[in-house]
Amino acid sequence: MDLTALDVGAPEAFVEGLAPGFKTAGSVQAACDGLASGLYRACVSGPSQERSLVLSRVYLSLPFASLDSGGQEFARGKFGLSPAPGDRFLALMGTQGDDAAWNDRATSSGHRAIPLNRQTVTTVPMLARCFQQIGFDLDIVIGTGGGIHLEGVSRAFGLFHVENAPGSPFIPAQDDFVRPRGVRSVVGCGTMLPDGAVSVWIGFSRHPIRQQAALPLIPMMPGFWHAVQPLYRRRAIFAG
Amino acid sequence: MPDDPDVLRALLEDGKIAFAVRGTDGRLRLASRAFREATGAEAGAAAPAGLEEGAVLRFGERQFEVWTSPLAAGVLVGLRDRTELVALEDQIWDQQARLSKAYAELSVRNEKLREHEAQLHEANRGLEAKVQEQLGLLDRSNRLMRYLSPEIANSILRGEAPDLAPKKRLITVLYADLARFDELVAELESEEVIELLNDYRRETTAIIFANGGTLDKFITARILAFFGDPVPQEDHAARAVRTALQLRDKVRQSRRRWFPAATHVDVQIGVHTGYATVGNVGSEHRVDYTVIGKNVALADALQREAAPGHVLASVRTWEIVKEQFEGTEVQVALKGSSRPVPAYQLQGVRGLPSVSGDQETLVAGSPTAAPAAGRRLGPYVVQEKVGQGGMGTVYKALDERLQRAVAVKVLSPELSADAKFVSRFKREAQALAALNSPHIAQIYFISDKETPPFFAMEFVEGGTLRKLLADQGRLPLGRALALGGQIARGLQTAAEKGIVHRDVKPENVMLTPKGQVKITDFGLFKGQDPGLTSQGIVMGTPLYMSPEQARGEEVDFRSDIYSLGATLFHMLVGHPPFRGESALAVMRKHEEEDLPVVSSLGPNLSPAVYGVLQKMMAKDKEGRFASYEMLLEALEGC
Repeated sequence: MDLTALDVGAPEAFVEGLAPGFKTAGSVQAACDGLASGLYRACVSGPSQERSLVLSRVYLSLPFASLDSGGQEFARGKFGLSPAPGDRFLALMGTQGDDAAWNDRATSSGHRAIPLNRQTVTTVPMLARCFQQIGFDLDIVIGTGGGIHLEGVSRAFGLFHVENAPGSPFIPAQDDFVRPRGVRSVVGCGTMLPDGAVSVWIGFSRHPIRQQAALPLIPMMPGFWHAVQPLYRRRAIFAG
Repeated sequence: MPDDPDVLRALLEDGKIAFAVRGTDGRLRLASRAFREATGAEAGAAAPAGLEEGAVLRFGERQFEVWTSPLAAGVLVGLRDRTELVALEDQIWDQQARLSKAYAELSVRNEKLREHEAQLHEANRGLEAKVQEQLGLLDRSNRLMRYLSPEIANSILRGEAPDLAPKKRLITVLYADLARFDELVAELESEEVIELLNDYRRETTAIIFANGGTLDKFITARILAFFGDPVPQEDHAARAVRTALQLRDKVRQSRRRWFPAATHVDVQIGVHTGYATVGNVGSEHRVDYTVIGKNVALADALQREAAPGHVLASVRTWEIVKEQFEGTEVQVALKGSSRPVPAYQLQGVRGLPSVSGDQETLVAGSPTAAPAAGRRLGPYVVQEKVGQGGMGTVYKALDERLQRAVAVKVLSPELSADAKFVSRFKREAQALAALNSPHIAQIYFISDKETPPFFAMEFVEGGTLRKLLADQGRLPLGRALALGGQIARGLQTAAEKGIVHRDVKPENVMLTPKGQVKITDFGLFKGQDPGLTSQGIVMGTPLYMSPEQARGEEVDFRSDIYSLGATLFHMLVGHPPFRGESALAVMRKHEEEDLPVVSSLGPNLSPAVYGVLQKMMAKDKEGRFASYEMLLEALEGC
């Protein structure tokens, strides 16, 4: 799959191809890992069919009580919080990248569980930009309930796209990650689940990706969650 | 937990809540009816597997979520029915998948549209640049076309024409000017003069360009044009002469419109062929493509000596064109010349009459200046000139014996010298005198020995049909058919005497104040003696001319029926059936083109009337009405 020239329907077809594996994955987290790694391997571009993705990650918002123990510890330790069971976090559910350290959630230094509250969803640059571009209703995302929004129509799915990642204020770790790893563009897509949880996939590409080329990604996450929802309903979130 | 046994029993048996109490031994101590129905487990039996907090259980088609609470020595188990909620979630998943797919497709299309919009915008910018370039070219072209015909201007723009640097070249120079123009416009407002000049220049320029001429300059109404440069033309002399004759005819056709108060105004034209210097002359600020030299001055002198309405050509030009054009040698005293020099006064194209369209035939009530006023002709005293016929001038005169007005037709001086024309002129008068019809102007007197010859006829108060059409455009159906019938009766009388009019047209139909038709100007009739107008010479007015007459063939009364059809067409539609840039073009249309379709001709033409016109104007005379009786019957049936 070439992220620089995606055909309409290609991402959905890709997810459908992974669906049999999701049924035997046993957990949402395993399925998310499968998606992250599958995309990492499948996305290639250029004459030499070089891999496009430096890093591929899948996130899901969960209440603190539903995080795995490592995630809860991370949330408490990283942010010095004492979360209530219902406080929402954006949990890292699947990861695959060029570095071995990026292939294990446990070794993620900063993104294993990100607190979702009014401050973070509006000020953490990439998080705020991602949710804003996709069009999520932030009140639903942080669990403060819905309501009438006069600022615009919120969406349950959409695209996240930063064409020029180097120097972009929305992409963190410019010196540690973006420039040294040659990240040119960042793309992502997300969906909101029926219970108000949100899930996003974010890919860091070494090939420049124009917005028009990335648009076919939009239905990928709804398709993924359509396939994974039986696990989610069973609350089979984490392996083991 | 209710304490009242009756309440507890009621909850267990009647309530919708599914719950049970599971003992430490794993068996159900009690179970509500809804619990029993959902799980199939009865009190006392082993509790179903999976009754853990938060678990989702499926029993048949229904799904339940389990909640638990410690209760004494057991656990209170509740089942929350999530069947409908799951169904709703399923719909949400499905819809979200479909919507996101459609959204993505629309987004992609939207982006493509934006790209196309950007491309169109870019293309538009490119087009704007091209338009600017074309406008620049057009500006150049317009400037060139002020002086050159469009074909020559375009060839220069395409880089095909020779350079415009001054050089000597054999060309033909034409000068034309309206006689006493300054006097004519002295009483006009400046806006009227400008409007008049614009109209005059537009129409004369069109004639010059149509003949491939180069317009050097206008000085008020004075024109300097030349032929044969910048694109060489082998026939430059003929082109110049043809242009001169067409300019003369154009002025005659249009002078009523241009000078309503001085309809006798005419143009003076001089034409000369010789070497001259042509090319761009001027400074860096202003360059004119012009012609200079003594031969230009000679054309200038010829024009100044030409009488109003005359085209004077030099001997050199005449020698080149004499096979094509008719002319008469005259002696002119040119400025700067000690003695008269020969020149040629040109009449027209050989074999073709001048298509002057002069509208001044016997027009009572619109007198023009009468150069012969007071002159006596036999028993008549000339009062004023009222028209110009095919071979002579028509004056209003007074019959002193009977004290009545008459129209006197005097053969032109040029033709008076020609015995053949004099004979023809007298035969015309004799033939007309033999006709007795209320629709033909009556002949009173034929001169015998007077020079120039003349005859006197009925003076018709009123105007011509031509004037009526010019004033009213098309006529009402009933009026047109009535006038057509009267003309047919007059022509019928002539036909019975073997006379063919040969020039039936609105100008030759007078209308008395009571609306009675008087046909005039039988000047072109053939009579019973075919010798005068020999076969092969085309005479008549092309706008109403029959195909066989256009071909120069022998004609009979059916030719007049054709011309009457064309005249009737003009009355009904408001214009002649065929029009064109030149007489030849009109004649060709009469020979080849069908009548315009009836639907394009306005409300006057019913299919019945159109059918009569088609029969009157059949290309083959055999297809026309075989007699005037048949024609009159058809007209009365419309």
